[in-house]
Amino acid sequence: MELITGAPDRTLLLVLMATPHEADTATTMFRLADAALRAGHRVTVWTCGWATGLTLRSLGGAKPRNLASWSIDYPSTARLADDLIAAWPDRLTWVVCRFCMYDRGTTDQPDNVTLAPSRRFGRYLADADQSLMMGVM
Amino acid sequence: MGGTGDPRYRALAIIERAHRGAVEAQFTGPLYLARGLGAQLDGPIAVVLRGVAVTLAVAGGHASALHLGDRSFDTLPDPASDIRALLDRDGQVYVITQDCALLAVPIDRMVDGVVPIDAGLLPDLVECSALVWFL
Amino acid sequence: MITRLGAVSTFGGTPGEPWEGLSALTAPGPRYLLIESRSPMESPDVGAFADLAAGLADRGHPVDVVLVQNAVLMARAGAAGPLPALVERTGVTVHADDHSLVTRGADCADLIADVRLCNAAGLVELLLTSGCTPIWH
Repeated sequence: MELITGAPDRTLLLVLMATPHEADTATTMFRLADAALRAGHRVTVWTCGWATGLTLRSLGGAKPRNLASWSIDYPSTARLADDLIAAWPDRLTWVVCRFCMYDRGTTDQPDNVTLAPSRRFGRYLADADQSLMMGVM
Repeated sequence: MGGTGDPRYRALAIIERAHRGAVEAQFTGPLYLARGLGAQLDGPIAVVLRGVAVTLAVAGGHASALHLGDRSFDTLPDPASDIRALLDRDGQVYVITQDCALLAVPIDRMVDGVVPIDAGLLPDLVECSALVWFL
Repeated sequence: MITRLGAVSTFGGTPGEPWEGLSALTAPGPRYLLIESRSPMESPDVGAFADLAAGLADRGHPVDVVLVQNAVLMARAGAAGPLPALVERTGVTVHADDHSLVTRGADCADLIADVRLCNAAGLVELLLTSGCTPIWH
């Protein structure tokens, strides 16, 4: 993936607290992550609460078939996250809060996400140039 | 309103929450649910859109694609298409005019076939229905 | 009545004095980025968040308010909500997310005058502006 601009190389921490399927916050997070990466920044996505389920392996690569549009492939959020990580392997880090993961039973996580204890949040915060807490659990 | 079949299954779906997850929902929103439920009833379903959900019936409310990494993600929700599909199956779709006014959504921007109604008519629609669901 | 944060004990500090850690944690940036994600139809808290934006501007801080997701619905000219008064405030700049507008069937021609269009890249720029404190609602 090519950068649009010269690399400013700042680190943005996006903390996704919002529950999927409640609002468009996960979509906004994906858009912000992609835009920041294209602009040459580093991004850390930290998911908490039910947002830890976005990357579940059990989601598979695609959503269930749309009974009204059988042939269309609808990628799962797990695949979208996987694709984004693959596009920016050196600039995007996807972290799943381990406490929330156990608390919500979302333990079937892929190898390319980092499982971090909740107490490590401060470290990621300190390592970031900017952070944005998105939504509530 | 409602179906032409068994009146015991004449259904009214009221949708007042909207835009609840694009990348994760894609096609699986409340309108898809209404279609699916309607398909299992003996006749079409009536849908009332109120609150922010009136925007689901705006023609053309659909972004073409998002670019995420190397992917062009082109299966974003398309509520206007869902509305047309409901209407195509003889369903009825209503929007509350007062809510359109509060959001400054012009009625003439709605998908063809969507019926604007006064909020005061909602009890009438409920009275005509055997099944009333908030989706 | 409490009028200034410095006059209250916060998080267990000595009564009558600000907690000594607080200033380090909350040292205000010179500008604020307030991101509203909900419509006034969904929550009365939206009005309170607009009041916060106005209050920060009254204290001399430049404030950018970015409307995303369902919050863009209040950016239509004629829509109910706190926005017409907010855009008039000195020091407050209001932006509306283009993707959120399009996905809700709105055109930029529908917007209240002085509301600026913004995309994900623009929001990232605002986020990474030096001294910016972002607050998501």
